[in-house]
Amino acid sequence: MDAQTFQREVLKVERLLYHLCYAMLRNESDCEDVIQEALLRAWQKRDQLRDEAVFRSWICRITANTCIEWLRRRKRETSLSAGQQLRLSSADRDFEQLAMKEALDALTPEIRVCMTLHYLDGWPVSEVAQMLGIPEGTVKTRLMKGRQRMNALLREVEA
Amino acid sequence: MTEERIKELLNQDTGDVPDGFHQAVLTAFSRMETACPSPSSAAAPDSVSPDSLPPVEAI
Repeated sequence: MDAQTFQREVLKVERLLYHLCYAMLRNESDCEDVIQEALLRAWQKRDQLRDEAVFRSWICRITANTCIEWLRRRKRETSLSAGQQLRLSSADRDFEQLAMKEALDALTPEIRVCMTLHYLDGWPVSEVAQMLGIPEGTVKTRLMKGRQRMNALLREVEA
Repeated sequence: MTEERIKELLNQDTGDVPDGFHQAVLTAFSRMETACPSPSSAAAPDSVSPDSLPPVEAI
């Protein structure tokens, strides 16, 4: 795959990659760092991808794994509380949005990413499973847990 | 909560690609050739599907 093709394919899925990164990291600045690392990593491995038809799943898997490594590094380096305070002080004008943000923050990255890819981007469970390299049953379980947890958290916040 | 409602809330929370992210993608493009120039294509690489990559594990 040449550079032009690689870049064209990345731009086609840019929105999906952003949603994936943001679902896992919940911080725009981290998303910017991670996507650079993930794209460079994918570019280094590009000759391993013979079938360009699976580019989307392939790049999503690399990006998701880069996010995981980033979160592990951050977990070791800092506590999450400072980041959460930063996020809440940004542009949370609307109460419902704030409640939603809190509910999403409270979910695990694995659940959030499944919910984002499925509900926001509209990918079927089978495709989300392929992108993340996990069984479809696991995706379904995470979607169910996410809905239950969001319902409970939103009720809690609104009470 | 309906799926439509979840989508609406996620869309409010996440939205479109911010300029900073797009710029980061473009920066990665510009770093690609210098960071890892194209290797010789003489040897045919082994085929790798997404399934052969490690799965996204729990954190």
